[in-house]
Amino acid sequence: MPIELEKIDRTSFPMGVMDLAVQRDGRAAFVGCMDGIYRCEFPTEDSPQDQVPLPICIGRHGSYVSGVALHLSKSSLISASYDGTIQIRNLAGDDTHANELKSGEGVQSVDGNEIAPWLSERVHGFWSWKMALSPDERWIASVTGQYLAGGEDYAPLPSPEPTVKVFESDTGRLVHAFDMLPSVQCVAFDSKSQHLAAGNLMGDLAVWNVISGEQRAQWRTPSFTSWGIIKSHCFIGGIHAIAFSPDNASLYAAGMGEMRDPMAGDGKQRWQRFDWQKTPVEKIQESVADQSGEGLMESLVFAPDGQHFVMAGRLRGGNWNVAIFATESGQLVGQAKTGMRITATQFSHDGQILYLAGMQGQPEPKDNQFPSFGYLERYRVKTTG
Amino acid sequence: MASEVNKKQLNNTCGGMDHKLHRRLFLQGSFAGAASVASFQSLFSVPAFAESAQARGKRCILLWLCGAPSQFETWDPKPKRPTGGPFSSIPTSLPGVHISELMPKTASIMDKLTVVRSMSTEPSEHFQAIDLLTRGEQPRPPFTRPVMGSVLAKYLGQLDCPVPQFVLLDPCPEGNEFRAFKASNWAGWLGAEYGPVRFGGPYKLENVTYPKGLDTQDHSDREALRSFLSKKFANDHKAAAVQSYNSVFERVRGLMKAAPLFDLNSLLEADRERYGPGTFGMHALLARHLIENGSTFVMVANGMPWDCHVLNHETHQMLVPELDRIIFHLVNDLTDRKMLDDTLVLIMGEFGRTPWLNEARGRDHYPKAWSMAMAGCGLKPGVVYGATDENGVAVSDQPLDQRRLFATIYKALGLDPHMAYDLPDFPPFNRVEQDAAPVDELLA
Repeated sequence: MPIELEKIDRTSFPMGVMDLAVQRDGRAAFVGCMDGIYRCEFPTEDSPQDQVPLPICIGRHGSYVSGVALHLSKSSLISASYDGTIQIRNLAGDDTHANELKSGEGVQSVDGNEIAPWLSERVHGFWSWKMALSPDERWIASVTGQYLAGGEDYAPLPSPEPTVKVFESDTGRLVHAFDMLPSVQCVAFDSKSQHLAAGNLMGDLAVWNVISGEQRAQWRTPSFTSWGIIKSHCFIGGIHAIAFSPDNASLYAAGMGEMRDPMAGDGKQRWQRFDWQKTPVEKIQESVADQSGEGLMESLVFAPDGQHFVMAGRLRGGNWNVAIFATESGQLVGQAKTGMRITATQFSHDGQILYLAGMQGQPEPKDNQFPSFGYLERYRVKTTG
Repeated sequence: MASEVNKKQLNNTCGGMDHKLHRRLFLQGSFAGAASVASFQSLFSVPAFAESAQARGKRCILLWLCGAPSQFETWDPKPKRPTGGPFSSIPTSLPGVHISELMPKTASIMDKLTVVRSMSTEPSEHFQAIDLLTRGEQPRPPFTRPVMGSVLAKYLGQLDCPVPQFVLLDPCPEGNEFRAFKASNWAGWLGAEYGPVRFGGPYKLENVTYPKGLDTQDHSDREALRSFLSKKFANDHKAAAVQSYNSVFERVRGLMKAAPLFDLNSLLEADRERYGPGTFGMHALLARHLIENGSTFVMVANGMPWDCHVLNHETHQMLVPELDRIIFHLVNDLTDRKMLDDTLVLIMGEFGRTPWLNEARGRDHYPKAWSMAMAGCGLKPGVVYGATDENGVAVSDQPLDQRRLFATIYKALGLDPHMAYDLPDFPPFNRVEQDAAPVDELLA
């Protein structure tokens, strides 16, 4: 059944938005931006029609904030950054953890509306590319890895440190550290918080048992990685988003297809679905070529009812940069052009609202001021036909 | 084993004192007229003369960062600014000077480098900018100005040296605009003999082994006879075509002798580990090796990897650490070998990259304010020249264009920046036009 996305509103942020965490009640969202962590409240039905949501910066890292997650049971916000740190802030206003504040790297002076993190820990020597909180809120996973030349063909050098790490969310204690070839660019838990998956630049995917630390599957798909033929000899692309299917039987990967020119960004918008429990792992479905345009896909999430999933990213060429696919058939059933690169998506609890976060190109300064270029948009999800 | 190979190679190249004659001295000297009829063996074996020429010998390695690297992720970081990107800056061996955190090794030798943070040029497209930053001047059709490598090969190169004087190491055969530029006329009005020998990747030195049944002595005898007769013929007939014909023979003969120098596998494994494993590092090592063995100008390219319109930071996090390692080892190796005083190292692309990010996480072309670096021969070490504003949008102090840069480079290499070319029937051309002055603050 076709689905339409009807735009509700847009909130602007000074810098690009890299991740998103919407409150369960849908009244506010926290976003990780290039310049910090922001909270924004959405207008309600009672709000004046001309009210524009104003984001407030509540904290900063030493670099881009690449991941945010709401720990609802603890009323706290977890964030991860390209500075390699994970921070946890108490949103409830009490100072339960005040004495536990560590002076880790990336901690900024706190003023105005900013909330001091009760934990700030350098967990990687390089970027935290992505961070995820398990659905049961017990575990935080963060992935890293600097791509350094490891061979004449510029295949990645193995990382000197584990690139996939799992921490206890209550304490920040490291519980697992897994090796995967850099750069590891995405991470996700299954719905039962039993398994963790990660994907990297080279198209490697792996699944681990979160409790035992046992690796349950490992495979490589060549469909997302480019080796430059035209301008440069290096690898680019890879898997930028993964998600378990609602029944946890499948793992979905998203990114873009191969490019001859790595600097063109013109790979095919692509997802693939794998039966990760099968030995060997089997690809069981993928995006239909003539339903896709060109551009890097950076987000893939399932609707709460599991009937659909959304893949979103950048539009380089084609008709959409946000697409809705029917889970069972894999067919495109809805699409939109947002006019911005999308880095993060989330459905509301009831599946009626789709939140899209990202950025346009950074404008040149005007009167010594840089105009905003980060955005969070809300769309009403409407089934038609 | 490798070091033995290297020793043998040296005997075949320009290590000997009698091959160190400066080409300009030859052309200007009294030997010029006699060259074609005089003894054709050991023509320049006068020790005192050769030693004097060796003292004048200057060389240059250009690490050509084609595609244009981001100044923000290398020499001119702007951490915490809207334009700064995700990387921080780190202190260097120069008090108060910071560079990108991606360059920790280079930071430790900043006192040996000469960095310009205020390059400001005009072309914003690759081909035109590559042309400008390799030749030093805008095109003036139908005349073709030689690239810097050709100029140095002619005016600093060693006569009768079997090692190619101008080498382009470039393992990536394509490269969009750079590919087009590579197909253009590099040597211009200096003549094809001053064009580069290209090597790397699919580019091998072909046909450099003796034909079956011909040994070294046979080949040498044949070549001696051919050379003698050809020079005599050229002297009698004064024909340019004969000269070109002889140049081709000389180049092929030189390549046959120099071929072992291009064998990457013959280089010390420890050196390859330090510079490698990527092809850019391996070819930078090869550049050092060629310079040590008689080449005058070696340009090390690697396609156009720096053109990061997409995923700028994600690509620079790989490219810059490799560059960092190469700069560190190259400058230190030249220092340890006491070659840095005579070898100029240039590290540059054709422009910089935009302060602002595009939607694809990339930085686009930006000639208005960018950075480059140099080290060695004739330069004042430990200098950071010029500056940009707090966001890196514009040059705020001591802007430098390509003319003054080239004037500085030529002067550092002991060449007159304003020398007038002797080009009959051409309009007047100078090595650097408009009397652009070298930057005294950069010169030793």
